[in-house]
Order: sequence, then structure tokens, then C-alpha cells
Amino acid sequence: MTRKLKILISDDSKLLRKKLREELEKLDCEVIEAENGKEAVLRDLQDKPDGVILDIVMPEVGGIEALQVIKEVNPDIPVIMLSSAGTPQKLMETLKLGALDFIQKPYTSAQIKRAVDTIRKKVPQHE
Amino acid sequence: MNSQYFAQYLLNTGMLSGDEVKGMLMKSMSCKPKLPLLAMYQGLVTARQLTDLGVETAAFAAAAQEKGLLTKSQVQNLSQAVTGESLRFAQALLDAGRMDYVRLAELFADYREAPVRPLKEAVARLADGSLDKELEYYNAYVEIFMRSLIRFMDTPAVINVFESLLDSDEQTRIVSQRLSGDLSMVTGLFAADDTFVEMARRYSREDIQEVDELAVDSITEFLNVMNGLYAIDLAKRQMDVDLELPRAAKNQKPVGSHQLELRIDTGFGSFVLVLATDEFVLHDLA
Repeated sequence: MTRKLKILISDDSKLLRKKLREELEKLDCEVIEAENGKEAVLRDLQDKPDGVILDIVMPEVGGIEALQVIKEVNPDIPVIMLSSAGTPQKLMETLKLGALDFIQKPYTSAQIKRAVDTIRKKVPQHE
Repeated sequence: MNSQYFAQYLLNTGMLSGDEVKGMLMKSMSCKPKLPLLAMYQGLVTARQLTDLGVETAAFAAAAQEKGLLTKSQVQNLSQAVTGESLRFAQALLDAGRMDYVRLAELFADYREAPVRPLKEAVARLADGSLDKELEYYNAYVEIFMRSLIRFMDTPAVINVFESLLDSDEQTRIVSQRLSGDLSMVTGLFAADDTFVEMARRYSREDIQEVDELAVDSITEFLNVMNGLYAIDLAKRQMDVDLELPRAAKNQKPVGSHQLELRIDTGFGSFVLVLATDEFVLHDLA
């Protein structure tokens, strides 16, 4: 049996994490949460998720710095940015740093499903 | 006609008082525009023809077809018409007996020909000749914000140009977020606790009963999403801004530079949208 896809979500908004967890659990994913970029890096190292959904504006360490560190440690991990700051500049910056996609808040369920499908395709046993 | 700002127009011109508009906004939330109003709005019948027809709404379709005013396919199209907040508001005025078709038709015509958009006029009136440099940016923000209230909080809204809320003695909350980069601007929301909770409940679709962490989080997230939409709008004008971390506090009044305070009346309550060029929440204490 295929194990559940393990996804790390990092956002300082408790509401966003709650809503996103509900969406991802409906898609049969296991969810790990982080409240800021520093915690996201730690959880990435400790819990070894299959993919990461990362906000940009967060306390302590922001999403762009967290993306850099996560991709340095684990270049193959699929990272999707989920942020209100979806300007063309931010989109280009994060794609250059290795993010796979950028979802502008507020997201739709269809966008989250596409993000999960994208992550799933990058994880060998889930292809 | 813009589908959203008829109520704002009526308030700006003094056709309705602030209290009347608030009451009608509340009624309009549960109003569906009916066939006679839709037919008049689309120019298929005149107000005079509606009055002469003199039938109840339920009998309108049959009577209008019998008199040759509408065809069967026109009636079908009207039944499926997509309507906006202005028509819901107009229907609420008719249902309350506040206006008849003839008066409404006159006001619709005036509204269509108004030289300044109602929101822009309200903002200019509250700025009162100051804020020259900021006004262009504040206007653009207000347009996005007022449109988004319908989308995210299911409520029509107007800017109340006559009354302030900042002198309230109630327990209040304020949240703010700075945009920095090619533009320095801080946006915020100030509300009494009960309105704050209702806003949080509407935005989050969660059963929030008091000002707790989830309520504050919901409103800061709402503001963050608004500011994100505004940042994208600025990017279209080749301006790049970063969003900073939101701040929240209780019982603090905003004290920013070049500050504009807009009292927003909605179908569920009133709050203040604050725009300034620097931070107006002094202590992050929520």
C-alpha cells in the first residue's frame, strides 16, 4: 500500500494552517505544521516531508530565506510558495531559488489539489 | 452602471441619511432583485409603464407579455440575469416603500451621469483637500478593499462620509500592516470588539465567539490578503512593494502621518479602514 504523502506547511497564520490542513487531509495527506521559517527548516530536517508549502511573510525567518536553506539541504524537495505577496518579482525570485510553483492567497481548493499532484509526481513511490 | 456603488451615491448626495443606508444595506443582504426592477434597469420598460401596469410582482411577467411590453424570451433572460449590489439595494428601497419606480429611475439616470465615481468622491470628501500625493494610492486601495468586502465577508458596504467611529468608548481592536519598497504605506482596520468578532467569523467561516487568537489572526490574514491584492495592482504600475509582518493591539487609536480614516458601514456593523504613510499601531499588544 502506498504511504500517505507527508506535507510540511509553514505559515504564521493559525487560520491559514487550520484551513490548509483540512484541505490536505481531504486529499489524504499527512500534515506537519511550522509557524515560521526557522521552524520550517527544523521540521524539514527532522520530519523529512515529501513536499513543502511555504508562506513568504513570516516572523523570525521569512519564507524566502527558509526556501534557500531547505533547497541547500535538500535540493530535490518540491516546494510550493503560498503567499499574498504574489507579485511578478516575488514569483521570479522564488522560482529562481527552486520553488516549483507560486499560489497567490486566497487560494482555491483546485489550486491546492494541483499543488499536491505536482508534489506527488516528484516523489518516486507516489508517481 | 457600476454594479456596486449606488448606495454610496445616494449617501454622498444626501438622498439617504447614514442611518437609512445602514438599515437598507442590512435589508439588501437578503434581497433578490425582482423582474419589474430588472426590466426597468435593462431599459426594457419605463418606470411609467411599470406604474401604469399596476400589478403585483408575481403577476408582472404575464401582464407585461399580455401588453406586449416583454417577450417570453426577455422574461426568461431577466430571470437568469446576474445582478449586483446596486440592484439589491434598489430592491430593498422599493420593498421598504422608501422609493417608487419613477424616483428610482431618475436616480439611476443621475447616478450613471455622475461626473465622479462615488467611492472616489467619498474619499476626496474625507481627505478634505489634504493628502494630495497620497490620494491616488489611497483611492486605488479603497476600490480593491470595497470590492473585496463583498467577496470575502458577503456584505455590501459604503464609506460613511458623515460620522466617525474613532471616538468610541467601547473596547476596540486594531490591526495594521506596512507595505514598503517603491511605496511606503500602512493599512489597518479598527473596530469595536463585537464587530471585530463578526468580521473574523465572516472571513474565516469559523465559529468565533470572542476576540481570541483565531479572531485576531483572521483579521490580520484578511488585511494581508487585501494588501497582497494591492501589491499586485501596484506591480502592474511597475512598483514593487514588500509586505511586512502585521501588528495588532487593543484599545489603541491610530496615530499615523498623512492618515485617512474611513468609516465603513456594512450590513453587519461599522468599522474603520485606516490608511497612512507610517505605522500607526504603536505597541503590538493584542
